Amino acid sequence: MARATDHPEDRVSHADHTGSPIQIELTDGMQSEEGSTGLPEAGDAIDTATFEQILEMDEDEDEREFSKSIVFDFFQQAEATFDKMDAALETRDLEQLSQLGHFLKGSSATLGLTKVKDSCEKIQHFGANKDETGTRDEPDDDVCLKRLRKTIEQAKQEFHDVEKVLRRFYHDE
Amino acid sequence: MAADLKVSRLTKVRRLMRRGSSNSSARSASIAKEQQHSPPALNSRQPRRSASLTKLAEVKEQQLHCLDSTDGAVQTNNNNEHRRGSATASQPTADRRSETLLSGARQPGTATSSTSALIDLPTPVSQKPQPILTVEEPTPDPIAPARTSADDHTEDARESLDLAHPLPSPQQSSVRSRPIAGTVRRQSLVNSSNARVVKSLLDQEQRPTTASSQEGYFAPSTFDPNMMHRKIWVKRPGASATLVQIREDDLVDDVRDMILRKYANSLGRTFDAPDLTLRIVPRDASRDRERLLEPEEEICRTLDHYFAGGQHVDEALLIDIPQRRTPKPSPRAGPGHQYPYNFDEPSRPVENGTDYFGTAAMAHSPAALTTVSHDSRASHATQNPAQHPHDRAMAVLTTGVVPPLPSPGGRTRTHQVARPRTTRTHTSSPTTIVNPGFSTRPSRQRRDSTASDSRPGNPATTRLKRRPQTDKPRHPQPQTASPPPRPKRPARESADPSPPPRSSRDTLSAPIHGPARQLSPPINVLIVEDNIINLKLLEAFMKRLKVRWATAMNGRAAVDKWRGGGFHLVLMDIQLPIMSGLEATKEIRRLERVNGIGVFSLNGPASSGTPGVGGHAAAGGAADGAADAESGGHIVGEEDRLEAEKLFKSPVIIVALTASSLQSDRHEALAAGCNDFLTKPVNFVWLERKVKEWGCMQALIDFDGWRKWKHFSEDQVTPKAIDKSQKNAAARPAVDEKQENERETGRGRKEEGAAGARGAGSDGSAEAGERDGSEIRENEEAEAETETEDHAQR
Repeated sequence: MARATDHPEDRVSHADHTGSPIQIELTDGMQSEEGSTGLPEAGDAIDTATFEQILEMDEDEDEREFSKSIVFDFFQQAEATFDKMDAALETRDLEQLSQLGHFLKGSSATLGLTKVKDSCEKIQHFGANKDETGTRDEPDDDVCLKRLRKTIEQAKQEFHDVEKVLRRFYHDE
Repeated sequence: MAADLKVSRLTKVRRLMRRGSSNSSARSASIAKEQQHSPPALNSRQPRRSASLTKLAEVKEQQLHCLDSTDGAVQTNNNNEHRRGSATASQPTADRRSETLLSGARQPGTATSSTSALIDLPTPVSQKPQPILTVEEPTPDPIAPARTSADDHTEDARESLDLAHPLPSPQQSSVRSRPIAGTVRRQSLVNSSNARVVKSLLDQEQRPTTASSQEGYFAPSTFDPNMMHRKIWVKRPGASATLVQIREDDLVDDVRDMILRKYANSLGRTFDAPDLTLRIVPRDASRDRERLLEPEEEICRTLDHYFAGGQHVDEALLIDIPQRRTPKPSPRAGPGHQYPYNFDEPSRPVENGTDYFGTAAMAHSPAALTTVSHDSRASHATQNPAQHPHDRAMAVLTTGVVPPLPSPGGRTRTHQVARPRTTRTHTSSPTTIVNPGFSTRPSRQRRDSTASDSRPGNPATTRLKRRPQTDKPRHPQPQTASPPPRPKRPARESADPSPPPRSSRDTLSAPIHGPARQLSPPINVLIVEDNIINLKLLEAFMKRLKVRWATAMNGRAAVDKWRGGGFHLVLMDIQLPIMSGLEATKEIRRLERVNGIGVFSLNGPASSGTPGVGGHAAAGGAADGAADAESGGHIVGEEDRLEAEKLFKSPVIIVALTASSLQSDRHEALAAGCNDFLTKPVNFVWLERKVKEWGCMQALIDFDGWRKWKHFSEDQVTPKAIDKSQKNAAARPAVDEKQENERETGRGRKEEGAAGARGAGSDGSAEAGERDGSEIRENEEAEAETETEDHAQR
């Protein structure tokens, strides 16, 4: 059990957001501390382990300068990316959508914003003419676009949800 | 509810009484009976009385006489089966009390008055001194003594009550049989599941024979301690001890198996049971001497022999592992080899501690010799920091002999700025998160680099302090069977590599930066990441790791920066604009190949002492004969020719960063020439590990450069350095001060290489220098301006 997670490969293979034993374990282990740090309670929208390690970079737990800057940069980035996605939807630029999805996936994953990340991954796959999981091809652009539209909306919603939580966490509302 | 409590308390006291009687009267039934009658005398002391008590008393009277002390005990056992396990919080108290009662009972005249005395309160006060009672009583419940001779009916009633309210009422579980001696403790951490075990172990001594006919089928007294599992302490030298469970009849060989299971992530990966040797350090050094355990020895017998009264945590058996071979050959022993070099997990230096950087990192310390108790479980009492002296552990922690272990919940964010928190996932194993509740342990002063310095040698001095041999085992000391506050990763901690290269940097910068400086190898990391968020985080992380870094936002820029030389590690995002990470990786590998960059390039140590040759040629951009020879016979096209060749001691380590969870992506990355990969979100612990592992490796490979660096650092401002920096400053006035400083102080190695290029004074040298200067940034000056700072891109 323990050793299964020791290799990056293992780790990765478990590391889908849903059920990695590691992540669950970590989160559990941190629960007690979360209470004290006031980490945003956002259910599964935020992977606390990941977010916490960003919080740990803060020199000052009151100011939270660093993590705040990261998080707020992300807000901007996300908004901008969603705008670009909307534009790309208009132009039916699947490839661009896929790239944007990937792009936002990277940063949302870094912040541990699991839900947003998952949606972005879907966007990436749909944009690449794949199905949701990226394993099968979906040659029909219209189908992909339709899915994209839906998923982008979903991603936006998820983003705004988590944004609210985070803004509250940073006392910025 | 209150009544329930009282009843149970009463019963408890009664049992205590019995036990006391059996102890004192050598188990004579008649005496015991007599004594049971005595409690009333005690009762009389208590001014108050509760209604429930009175009621119970009636019942008691009827069956008082059918009780025999042994029977009573057995029945109690049966009845209380489910409760026995619960913590014996009041056990010691009860103990004391029973003693008091007992002595009271012995008073002539009081012994016979039992039944009547129960009812009338104002009976004459017993002669026994009272203060003890009042002080020690967990709850001043006057009723208790009266109950002492409660009968079966009461038992039944109580049982049902207890069942209904399985509250952790204070139990006397093992009190009965335990010798009363020394100080009295009031708390116990015994786990309900284990209390019985503990008890039966303890009881065994005092009550070798129990009336089995009276027992219920699951009466605890049938529990044969010999069939039980036992836990013994083991540890790796210099690391923290841990428990392994063995059976009573296990051989040392079996223990080794269990150890490997316990150390599944470290030892278990690399070693088989026969590889391990166990050393035992006797408690009494004068009598026995430290020795290796033979595989066929019976471990428990041996332990009992050496550690009469039980093995304490400080007496953990030492696990020795065979010295492992030297590290694997460097990635590319010869030119033209395969680039992708996936470091084999089992042989990671970090995992295996001593091997990579020698045994100095792990002090083989004789275990401290202390004693606590007979039952090995008793030593778990150390778990309760408040009760049990943790001094040795503390000493270890504070002296840095053993690196302080990050505690599960103890990840503080404020106290330490030098490095990332590593608590969580050095192993990423779930087992590391034990007992989050122990977050307050002092061990949260995590290991820091000083540990590696102070480790060799002194453990013995700090740990050999012998605790005075006390009669601890006899104490009604709280027993606990919950898992001990296990250090999170004993094996790992000591395995923390303290690479030689660090020291060079330390001498260089320790005055300025303190120990934090030692934490990472003196490497230079190139972060290639197009997402500003991720970039920022990675930068901040590098800053914390105190390694130098540079950034690139796309693959093209990455290659260009890499060409500037001096990088040891590239963190490469895979999907990048302009040129993907994979393409960039391939390009870097290609360039390395055509330039013959390898560990033992012809250009290596020999020529590095003669500045100017290779660099000169390179700077000139001419692929002349010398260049051909250097590159192992390849004709290196001008565009591929690497300048400042001396900066390329070995193929750079490329760690792919990918947000993809697809296996195929990873394989692709490895196929492209990445050495390793990390998935996003990057776990900082992992990242730190990668940086250390690869960085240390690189630093070793580049031993020559390191040596020079070290040399350089010893006399920091050599004339040459001044000379050069002045010259460089003159050549490119734009280069800012910081870079100059950085070159002077930090980068001896690079300096050396750059000196080669510039020393000849060729035209190209200035260019090489400029790139060098612009790209390598000292971490302290790190800001978000990175993305803009990209000379190579233009």
